[in-house]
Amino acid sequence: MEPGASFDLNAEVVRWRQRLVHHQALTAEEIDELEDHLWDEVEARLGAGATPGDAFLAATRRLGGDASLAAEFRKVEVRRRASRPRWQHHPLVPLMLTNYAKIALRTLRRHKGYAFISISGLAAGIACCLLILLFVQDELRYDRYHEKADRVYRLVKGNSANSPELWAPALTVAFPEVEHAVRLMEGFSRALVTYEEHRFQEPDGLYADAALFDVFSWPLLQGDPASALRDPFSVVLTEPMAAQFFGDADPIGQVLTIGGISNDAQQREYKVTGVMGAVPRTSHVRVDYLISFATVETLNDAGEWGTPLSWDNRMVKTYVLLPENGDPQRLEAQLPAFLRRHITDAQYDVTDARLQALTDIHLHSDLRSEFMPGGNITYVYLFSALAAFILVIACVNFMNLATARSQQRGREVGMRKVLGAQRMQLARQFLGESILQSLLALTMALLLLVGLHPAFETLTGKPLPFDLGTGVPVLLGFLGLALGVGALAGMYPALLLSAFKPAHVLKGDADQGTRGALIRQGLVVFQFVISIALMISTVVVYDQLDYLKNKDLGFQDEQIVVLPIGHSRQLREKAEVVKQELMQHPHVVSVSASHSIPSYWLNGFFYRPEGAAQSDRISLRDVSIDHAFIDTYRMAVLAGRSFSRDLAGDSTAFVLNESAVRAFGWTSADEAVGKQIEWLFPNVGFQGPVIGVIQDFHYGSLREVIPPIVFHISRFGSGFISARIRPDEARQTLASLEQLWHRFEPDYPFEYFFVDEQFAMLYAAEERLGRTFGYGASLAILIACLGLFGLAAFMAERRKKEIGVRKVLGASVFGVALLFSRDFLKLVGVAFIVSCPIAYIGMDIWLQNFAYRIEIRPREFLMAGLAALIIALLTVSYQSIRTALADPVKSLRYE
Amino acid sequence: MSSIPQALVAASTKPLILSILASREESYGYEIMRLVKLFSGGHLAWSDGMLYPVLHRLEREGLIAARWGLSEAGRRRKYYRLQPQGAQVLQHEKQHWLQVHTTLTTLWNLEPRLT
Repeated sequence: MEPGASFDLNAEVVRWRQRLVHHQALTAEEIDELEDHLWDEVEARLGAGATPGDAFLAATRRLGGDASLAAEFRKVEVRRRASRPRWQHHPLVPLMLTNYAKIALRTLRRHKGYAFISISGLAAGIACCLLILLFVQDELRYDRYHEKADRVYRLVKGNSANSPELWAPALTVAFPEVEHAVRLMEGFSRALVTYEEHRFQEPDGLYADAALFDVFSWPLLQGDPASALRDPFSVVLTEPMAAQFFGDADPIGQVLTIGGISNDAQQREYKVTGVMGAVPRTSHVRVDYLISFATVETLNDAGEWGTPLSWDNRMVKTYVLLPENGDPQRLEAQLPAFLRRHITDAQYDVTDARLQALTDIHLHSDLRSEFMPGGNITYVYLFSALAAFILVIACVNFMNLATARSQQRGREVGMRKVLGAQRMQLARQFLGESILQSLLALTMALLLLVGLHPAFETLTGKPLPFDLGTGVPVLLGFLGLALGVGALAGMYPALLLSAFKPAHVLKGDADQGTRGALIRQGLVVFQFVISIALMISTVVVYDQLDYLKNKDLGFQDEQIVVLPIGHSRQLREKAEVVKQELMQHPHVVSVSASHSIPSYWLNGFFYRPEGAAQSDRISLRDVSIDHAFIDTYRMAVLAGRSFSRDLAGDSTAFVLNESAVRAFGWTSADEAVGKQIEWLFPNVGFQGPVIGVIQDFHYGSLREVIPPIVFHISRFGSGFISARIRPDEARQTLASLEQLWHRFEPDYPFEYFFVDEQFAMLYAAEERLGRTFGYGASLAILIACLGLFGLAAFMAERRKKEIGVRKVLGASVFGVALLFSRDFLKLVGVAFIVSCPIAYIGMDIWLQNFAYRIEIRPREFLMAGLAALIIALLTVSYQSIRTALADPVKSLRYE
Repeated sequence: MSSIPQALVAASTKPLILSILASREESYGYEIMRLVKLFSGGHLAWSDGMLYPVLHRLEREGLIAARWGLSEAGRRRKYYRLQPQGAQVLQHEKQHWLQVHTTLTTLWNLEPRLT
């Protein structure tokens, strides 16, 4: 038999080649080359007379088997790649770090879903927390930029931020420890400022004492701080305003015309003596330009100042600068005696003057006559708490998922322990993994922060500048936060996992679940407690807001257009004519001019009932109105009558509200009518009868109790014209109002507002709180649900076999889904029960801010609880339905 | 005569390959192996699998260059050719080997005189 006949050489070479390919050690090209070699060898042997079978066998043997070939190739490779054996760690890289890194990344990759849920949850939590902190930080920063901020105090009296004009100069003389006492006075609100052809309306012009720049750190860019505000008719401009008028030219020495001043109607000329930097936004006062207080004193001396400077009429804000370690309390204690020396009126209360720290003004002060509405420390606390809650929820979520997932890594831990891993080493590994994830979350959070920042600025209604470049400490703080959170979140799984007994874990009989399960359930409950409490709070805040906006104010605030005429001399002087013209308009129902209007400020004055002793006087809120006011606002007259134009005596008569009747100690409205009372105000006050009593109405915010109010016919001129218009064709009416305005006042742009909108604006802070809580609650519930979803997925995985068995034994899909969901809903139920008292207490405290408030009703709790339950059910249902539908054959295949 | 020890074989692989490639325009694995066997009188016997990883390494180091061509039988065959850098390295190798050779020869020539 020809031996070659049964041997297919080509087929054998192909098979040899396939073996090499299968071995995967060599590339196709390398195999090509070897195959060529094999053929050369085989052909040489065939040439020497060998049979194909022998030739092939000898040639392949010479080349070596696939394993030894691979080894030959690797020998060369390894020598090239590493100078040290691969089992030795690099001197600069900590022990096993590369392995840890590899495992960490592999874990992330293999469990993308979990990783996404835990990392994005934490990222959202951190981002939200940082945003809120940005707001809180901004609130806490007010007025702290002044170098001497801790030594500056504001002198306030009673519940007003204002003090009389003559106190400040006398203080510096009487008390050596008062280094400076400076006054700021609102003089120019949106006054018209003119320089050559430039005419602008400037929002805020203030009178200020010469020593101002020694007290406040408002840097003077041009001019001499010591003398800029010394001489009368000097003006210091802020940089933006200077640029507006003078561009690049030097403003110093130029003369501006400023007019439209409340107390001083004259237009006057002022010389520019300095340019200061823009006043930071984080100030309790807005300034566009400052005019020397010496101007007021000069005008006063010349008798040209409206109300003479006095010791008892509060018109200015007084700031005192105390020395280092100066004692404000000591100075405060001396104030009554000091005031008594100067104020002859024995009636005058000298005991309620006190010093208020400059840095307390924004958040800790709730006084009338502020430059602008301040913040509220309660809201700072509430927002901080919200930030903390959300961060805690996100951390808990992170921890919870980490522990749940770690259960699946028992075998890895067991293996590592068997191979000699120390407990500390394992703890470090898991801590490291957790920190890696939290750093990822931080990166994501920073991206989110940048993305959400504009929306958040809109939400808080203030610019919150942040730029990461300005502060290494800020960056380090953020980093520290992430590391801390990572460590905190990693701590629990790190300690829990490293305590595993390897023998148990590897044998597979360890009950890994029970210990962690209780804690995990506790954490889920905790998350939902916070989420549900936030939801309840949101509902309560919105209910209260709804109540504030819709409560019957005691008059009809809809359809009243108000024209603020206070800052226009033209309109003020021609108020009567304007009223007459308005009355002619077909869509105007009635028109009234008054000194103030509901939702605005109220003056306080002393009154004395007829026959009472000289000292027996009471303080009432006082509104100067005209005859049509009560009718225009549709206030209800309970007794007597309203003012009448036809009765001349009414110009010295009074109308009271119910609170005022009570304040006088009269028992009924009817009793009050006809009583004589006296308005105690030098030069202007008078005595007259009470001609009517009107029902109590809300003059301002519902935060405050309705004050006792007395109306009389105006003595002061008017600040506002109110017109009740017909609801139809409001737009045309407004257009003709605008024409009318421009006919009388060409210089100022047309302005108007609706009274009901003005009332709604009083609750801007509450509105913001409601919205922020709404967003916070949504985020909290979202994060909590992410956690719940992850946990449900984990439980579904763990209970796969149990459910398989149940299904085999006849459980229905619905039954299994119910069984599975029930456990989670139980947790939400427990959370609801715990959160109710917490939310109740918190909201009850908040509601104490309002004199008029809603009762907290079960409805709010049920709504929030039901919402949480439904959301949780939806979250879990995906997993429970999937689990219930799973084919038991698959889950039980390996049993 | 016994075969040359493994270590010496391994050490001489590089200069042998470079020398063979220096002596002709280009060559391929099987031919290089045959030539080594031929010139060594059969004393230097490489295992066939060992040659290729070394050739690849020299190629990566830029001492030799490779191209794919066709054999006389029409099979794909990889040809190698010496690069200038390889010639330089060969020059050094040559000096080293000659130094070893000279030293040994000198020592062995001295020996009779010592006795």
